Amino acid sequence: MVVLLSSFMFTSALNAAALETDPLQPNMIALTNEARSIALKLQCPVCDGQSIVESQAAVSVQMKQKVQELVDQGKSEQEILNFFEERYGMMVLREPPYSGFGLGAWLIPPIVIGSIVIWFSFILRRKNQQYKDQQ
Amino acid sequence: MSGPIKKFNKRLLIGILVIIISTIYLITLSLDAASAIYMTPSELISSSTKPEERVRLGGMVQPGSILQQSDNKLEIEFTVEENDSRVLVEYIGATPDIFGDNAIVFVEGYYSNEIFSADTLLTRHPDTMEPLSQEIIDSDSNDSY
Amino acid sequence: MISFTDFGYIFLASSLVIAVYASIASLVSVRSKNAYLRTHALVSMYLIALLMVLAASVLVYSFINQDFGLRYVTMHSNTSMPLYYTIAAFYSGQEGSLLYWSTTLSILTAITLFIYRNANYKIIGYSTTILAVVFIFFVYVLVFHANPFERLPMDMPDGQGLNPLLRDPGMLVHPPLLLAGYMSWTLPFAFGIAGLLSNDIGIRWIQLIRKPTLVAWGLQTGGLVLGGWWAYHVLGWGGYWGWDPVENVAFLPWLTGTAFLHSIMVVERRKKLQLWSISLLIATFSLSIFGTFIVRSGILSSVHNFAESDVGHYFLAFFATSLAASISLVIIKSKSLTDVTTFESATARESGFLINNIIFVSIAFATFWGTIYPMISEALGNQRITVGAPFYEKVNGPLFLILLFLMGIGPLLNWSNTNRKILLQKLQIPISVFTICLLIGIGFSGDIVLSLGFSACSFVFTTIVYEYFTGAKIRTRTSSENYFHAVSSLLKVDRRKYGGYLVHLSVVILAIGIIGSSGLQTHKEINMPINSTTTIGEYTLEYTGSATIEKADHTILASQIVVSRDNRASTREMLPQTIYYDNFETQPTSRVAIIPFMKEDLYIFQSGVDANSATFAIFINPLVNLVWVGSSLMIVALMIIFWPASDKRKYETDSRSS
Repeated sequence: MVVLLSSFMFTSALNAAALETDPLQPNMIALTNEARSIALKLQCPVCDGQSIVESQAAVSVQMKQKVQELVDQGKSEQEILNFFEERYGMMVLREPPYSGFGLGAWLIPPIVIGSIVIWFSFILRRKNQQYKDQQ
Repeated sequence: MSGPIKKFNKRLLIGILVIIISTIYLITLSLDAASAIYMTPSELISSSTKPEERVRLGGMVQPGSILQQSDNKLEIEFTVEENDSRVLVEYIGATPDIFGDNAIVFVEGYYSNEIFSADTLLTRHPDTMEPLSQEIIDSDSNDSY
Repeated sequence: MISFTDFGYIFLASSLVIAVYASIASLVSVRSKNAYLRTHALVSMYLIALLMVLAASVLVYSFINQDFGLRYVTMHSNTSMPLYYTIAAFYSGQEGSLLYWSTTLSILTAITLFIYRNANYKIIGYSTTILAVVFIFFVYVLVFHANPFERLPMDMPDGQGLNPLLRDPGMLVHPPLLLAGYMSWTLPFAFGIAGLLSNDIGIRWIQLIRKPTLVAWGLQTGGLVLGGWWAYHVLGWGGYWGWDPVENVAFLPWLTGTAFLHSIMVVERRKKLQLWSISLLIATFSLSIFGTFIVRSGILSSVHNFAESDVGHYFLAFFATSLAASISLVIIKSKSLTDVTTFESATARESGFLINNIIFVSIAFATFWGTIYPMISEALGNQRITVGAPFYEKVNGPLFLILLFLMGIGPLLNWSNTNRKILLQKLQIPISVFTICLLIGIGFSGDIVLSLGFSACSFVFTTIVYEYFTGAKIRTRTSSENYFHAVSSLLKVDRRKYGGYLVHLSVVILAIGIIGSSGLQTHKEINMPINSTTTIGEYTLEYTGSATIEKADHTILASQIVVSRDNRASTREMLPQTIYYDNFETQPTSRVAIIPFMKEDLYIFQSGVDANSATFAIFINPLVNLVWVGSSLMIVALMIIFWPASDKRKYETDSRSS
């Protein structure tokens, strides 16, 4: 396969022919590193578990364009995230917010684990005591 | 001691008989289950399938009923007919070249509000002029290897 | 008329019936101590394996023969599909993957029961029943709700073809390995329940359960790693683990399974943590079922979705029932699972294991919570909160770091108690190495997290080398071996301990690969006009143009990039591609172009091509190949642990029943 392709003469004429095979819109956006790191924090609204960077969906492409635009305008990361949250709702943020329902995501694991650890140490202490009493 | 062993052998025999009978029963079941059940349009319309129940539909594409919903041929709408019953089908996906008027289709998906939303589509040319249901009956008797 | 493929169904149906017989016969054989019945049950399980292999062969044959009268074959293959994709086609749909699971389960069951057929009759008897019951569930679904051998009303001229995402060597092996991993936890689970039922969670039970546990763990690890490898090569975002719901759900049983692997060591040595271990085992099995339920039910729409048959609710029922039954059994038997000794010292090895377990379970809970939280927040009436990669990185990252340190300290601890002075002495060198690495790391990169990660790896590495060194040193004193021989005899004499260290070493290598490729990654997205150049790192890339190549059932759109390195004359060519399959135009797939250099990967993903230019995402992933090297080493280390020992395997034979 590699050999086959290398023997092609790559010219611009071929690109035009190549285009005819693409039924979907080609994704020509190139994000700057700064824009990309912000885009990674935005969830694709129609995919499952992908950020707009990984996703090839049309809406993701549009959102990426917008991110780049806002970055070029000098907006900060928080401002850009807020912008998208206003339009798409909280679900577009890949990192749960530190307020309201988002807190539930962050707080429950430490609370549950902490409780288990505390409960465990009580049981262990009690067993240690029982064992010593038996001696 | 022959007592317990005899009793055991009897139980064993019963156990094996039960197995053989159950297996024969399941095999006869297989003759039914072996054929994937695709409903004809009339059967689907008169059935009481729920919207969340996965169903299968088979029939012929009504000539002239194929409509493209989007530019890239990937969302289509067509009507499946059988004698005088018709069902409207929406399908998202690529269709084989064979697909067209009067083609035989087997679709799978969900049926609600009198629209069949298909996610799987299999198709072929009709070989004969027989109504589809008759073909299904006939095909049962000519499978052999 | 019965056709050839109907025999496939007949084999399935017969297996179902025989499994019912085997489950009853085995149960009765334990209660009445009847040796005949026990043999009957075992032979039945062997017979089932044979029947399932035959059934699977009928399906494979139908694929090879391109029998488009069979609904399953028509949906998942076509005439232009190369033969080796038949493997992928087999398990790519609901019915086929269930058949795969059932067949592999029956084979593994038959092999395991055969190997341990002379072990304690109660444990084997109860295990056979459990295994038969689990098998009954899967075959029941196959026979009555997801029959792979359904025939269409008439033959089709051609099939639909394989899902494009599956047409990749990585996809050929990742699903079967991962599914086998899930499936294989059934074996230790059966032994676990059997142990509970026969009130025997002692040394004998541990020895019985260890190898099946290692097999399951190995298969699952392999499956997960291959999934990452596939994601890396195909999905094009420069990474291999995205914390997406399906990945997370597959990760959960691995986490509890690894915790279980460690906790049974404490059960064996110190007779503690019995209740805890059994619970972990039950959790691992249940999470495997839960995982496969999530994937099959369509709750999460993703590439892993099997839409064609609605079997989700059966899996949910099975999951709920088996979990409820197992928990009830544990509660009933908890009295007989009292620990003999207690945790007196915080620096005892068993305490280290306990902390290890708590952290694994914490990671599992956090991952589980993050995965279901979106559904919870939505159900509670509020907006749907997304929990993406940033959450998991922040929560699990530190936990994994602690685990890394623990891996280093653990081996230095002694059972039941460790002399603090000696411990500190042993820790001197590793801590110094750690501190030096930390200072160098912060000095060079300024990144504390990154430096901590690498330094932790160096810490663990040092302790493992230290353990080997001191072990070998003792051997050279007492025998005439030189250091090299000493090391290999360490592996022979105490295979589990030193093999285990080897596994940890592989984990360290894996960790270095992960930290390097995520923390030190450089990337660049760029739109390049034809014949333009760009540089990244020490590489210069020239885009010369793109072309299409038509194949039988797909079209390849490829771009040529010529790569040269600083100060070198020779160039290399990279060809990132996008592939469009004829029946699946909405799902183009990608082939990422990768050049694996020793220290890093040069990685190029093609985002889009137009008349004058193309857009690429270019990555340099330092040390990423250590991820694959570390994983392979882990499997090698596992095989070393598995290698038959020279001492007699007493545990496999036991007093038989009358």
